[in-house]
Amino acid sequence: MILSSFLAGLVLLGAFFALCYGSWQIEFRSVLHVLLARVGLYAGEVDAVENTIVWDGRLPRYLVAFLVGFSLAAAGTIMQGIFKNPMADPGVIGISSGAALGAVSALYFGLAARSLVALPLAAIAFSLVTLVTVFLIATTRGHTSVATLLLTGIALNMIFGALTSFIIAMSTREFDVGRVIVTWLMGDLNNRSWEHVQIVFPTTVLAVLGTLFFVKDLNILMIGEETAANLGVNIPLARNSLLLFSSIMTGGAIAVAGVIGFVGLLAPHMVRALIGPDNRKLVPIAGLMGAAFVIYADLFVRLVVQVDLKVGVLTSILGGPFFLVLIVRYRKRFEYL
Amino acid sequence: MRMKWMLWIPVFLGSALCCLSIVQAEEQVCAKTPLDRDRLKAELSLVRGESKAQPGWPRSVRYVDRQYDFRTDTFAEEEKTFEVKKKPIRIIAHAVGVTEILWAICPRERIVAFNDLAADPKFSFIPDEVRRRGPIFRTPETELVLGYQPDLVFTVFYSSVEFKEKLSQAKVRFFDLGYFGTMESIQYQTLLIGRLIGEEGNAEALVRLIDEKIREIRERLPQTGKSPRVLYYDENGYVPGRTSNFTSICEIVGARNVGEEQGIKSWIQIDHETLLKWDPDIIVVPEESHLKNLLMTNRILSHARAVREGKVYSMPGIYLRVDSQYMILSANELAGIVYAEMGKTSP
Repeated sequence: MILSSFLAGLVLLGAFFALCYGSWQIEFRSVLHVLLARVGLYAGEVDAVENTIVWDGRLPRYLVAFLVGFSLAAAGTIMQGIFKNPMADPGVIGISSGAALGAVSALYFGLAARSLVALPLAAIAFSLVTLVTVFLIATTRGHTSVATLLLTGIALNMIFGALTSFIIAMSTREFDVGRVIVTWLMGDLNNRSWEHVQIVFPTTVLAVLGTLFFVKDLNILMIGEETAANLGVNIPLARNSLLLFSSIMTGGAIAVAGVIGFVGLLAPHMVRALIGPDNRKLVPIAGLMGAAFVIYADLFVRLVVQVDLKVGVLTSILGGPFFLVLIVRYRKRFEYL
Repeated sequence: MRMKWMLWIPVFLGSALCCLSIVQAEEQVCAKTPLDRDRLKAELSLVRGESKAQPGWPRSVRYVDRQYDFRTDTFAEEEKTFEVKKKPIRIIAHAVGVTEILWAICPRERIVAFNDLAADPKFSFIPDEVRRRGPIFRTPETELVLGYQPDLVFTVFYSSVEFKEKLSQAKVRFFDLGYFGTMESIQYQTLLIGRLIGEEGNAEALVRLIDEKIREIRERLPQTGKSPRVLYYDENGYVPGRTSNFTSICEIVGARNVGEEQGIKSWIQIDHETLLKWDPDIIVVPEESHLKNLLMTNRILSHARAVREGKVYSMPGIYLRVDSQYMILSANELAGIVYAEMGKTSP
């Protein structure tokens, strides 16, 4: 409770910084007026430019950061639970690289330049194709093998990674396209708008609600499939649904923000080390941790650094060493996995 | 197999993507330019002139090697000497800009092969001419370059070390050209190339022609007393600064590059909020990016003066990547765009 309240406070504080600070100077009072006017609680005069900057620029960017961080961390928690592998992350069955290939293809073939939603749709389409492919390969006679899922994921990661590299290689000739692709692959929240929120909000809400429905089963699955079966858990249904929801969250997050590394790996571990392995608490609290991580990484990139550092790069730069510290400090606690 | 229904999801999303890609073509702005485009290009593509002083062969060419370090935003200058034993008659350029300069000042039979980018209309102003003339080699095809037995190869700072090493091993003379980012530096390099290949008369004539055309463009521009503030914004939100060729193009037409004005050195990515804060008079976007429609419908940018007044123009990317005498063509285009609304330019 203390941790979740702390994280919620951190996220709200992040909202204050995200909405009040930027290249355009806007007073806190004006930000409040904009927000209140939008929900019909303020009838006074609101500056049109400030209104647009706060409502159409800073707020959607903040919400995208929140939803992306939440999705990646929640997806990472599920993957680590299902595969009983502390190194599992949202990309373990190839969803991330599938989404990345979709997005890079949309950029290379010029679709992304024509519409804001073309790139996210391509990313989501490719992540779903990946998911279906993984399941079709790993499922025989109604039984889905976890080991085959993992191995298929590794193979698809390699194939999609190679295809993405091929497209990058072709795009180096197209200087501008190449730069856009490389920037996108680094994870970027620049100029995110309500259209992006409209894509990632439903995927996050739908998948989180679905996950919460099966989260008790996930706890039992972590003990072992035999025990779970004895306790009456419908293993294929629970596991496949959780994988589907995790993939939807990952695909949605990558679709609007690019590849943001380490959040799905780091946040579950941090929270698990503090509150233990109960996924009923772990999924939402790790989600909040992931959201806070991405929000503050984006704030740092946008307000402090202001050069070409991207959110995805920063999360990896910060996440890597922090993860090492966690491993050393909580070695014993990870052994239950 | 229970998951078969999911196959329809990507199919549905794919169809949605296809529908999205069928968008109306952007309205192309073909502004009236101060100088006639075709005539200007023809003039800049073939220049001949006499030089007063023409030293014989072998010759020592003294020059200032000027290299830009984007990490520190500084120029390193060093005086060097290059020995040329005899007049080069089998010349190859490893970059588009150098090829374009050679095309104008060097007898064409002495250019024995062309880099493939010089045959690409997205990068070169002479793609058809290059394709007709040939042969063409791809950038990594070092063996092919050696096979043409050049006696002088022009390389640039981004030519790979391996390529230069191969040339050295094959005892092929190569000359590494320096900074090309401004009109002045292009003129300096043109004169240098002229001396290296024994065509200083043509090189001097090209430099004079460039000055003359700059003067002509400026004379035909309306004297408004103020410099329009122009911002170049690409599909990823990148803006060029002081050392980019866009600054030079703006200077020629009496405009100000907003990126330079804001203290940007080479390139930097900015968000829409910053663009609104800088509030340029005119925004130029690369034509291939289809960015114009996106900017014109962006809610934040709807408050920007350029968007409000409909002064967002697309320009083929080639004009913004140029690093040869054809920068005059870019300036001519930009002049047409910048002063389009005044309707005072005449060909």
